[in-house]
Amino acid sequence: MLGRTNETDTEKSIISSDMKIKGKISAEGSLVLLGSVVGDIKCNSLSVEGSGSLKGSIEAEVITVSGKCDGQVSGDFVSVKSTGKISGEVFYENISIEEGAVIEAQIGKRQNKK
Amino acid sequence: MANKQAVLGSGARFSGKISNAKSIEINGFVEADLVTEKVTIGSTGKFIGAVDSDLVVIAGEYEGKMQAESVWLTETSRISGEVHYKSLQMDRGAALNCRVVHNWNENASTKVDETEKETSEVSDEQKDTK
Repeated sequence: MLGRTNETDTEKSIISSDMKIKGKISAEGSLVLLGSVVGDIKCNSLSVEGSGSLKGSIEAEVITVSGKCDGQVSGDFVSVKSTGKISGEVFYENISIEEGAVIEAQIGKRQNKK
Repeated sequence: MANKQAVLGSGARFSGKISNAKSIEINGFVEADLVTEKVTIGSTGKFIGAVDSDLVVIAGEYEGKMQAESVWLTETSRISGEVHYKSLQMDRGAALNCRVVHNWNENASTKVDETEKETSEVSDEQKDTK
């Protein structure tokens, strides 16, 4: 029903492909980015899909990039897929980069905060 | 996954501007100006800011100025600010603390204070949906 959502799904956020956002997002759960965001994102797990683009900084535990990111990317697990593009800075604890990914960034291992 | 539907989860906080969205569901806290076709504010959601949408369904909290063709306020909704609508549905229990303006047809509306301020917005929306 409208206005009532599945309990298990309420923590998840989706920015749809036709959507443009300017501003700051912080989420406790996961965030799927299919549209374009100009601003900073802070969440648990972030997935930038192929159609997604981001200008700004990311801070998340798990980051998957299949789209475009421009800015500072900082995560415990950073995974860049073959279609992913990152420019700016990347800070990670664990990183995986697929063949075909474009990274024009300064990359550094982050000190474990915990 | 339906990628036309945008969702902001219950733990999410957002501030800024949202544009070009087709359909958006808000279960978190959003402080923004929103232009969309359909917006749903879930029972855990809170929205502060202006909304311009065809269809608005509110089960949560809303504060701001809303301009919508069709508005549905469910029993758990709490509204403050201003609501401009063409058709309105309200469930028993909905809490409104706001100005409600019907701007479906300027000529049909009885002369109240709305005429002086809203005429500019009303004039381009004279479609009679009868």
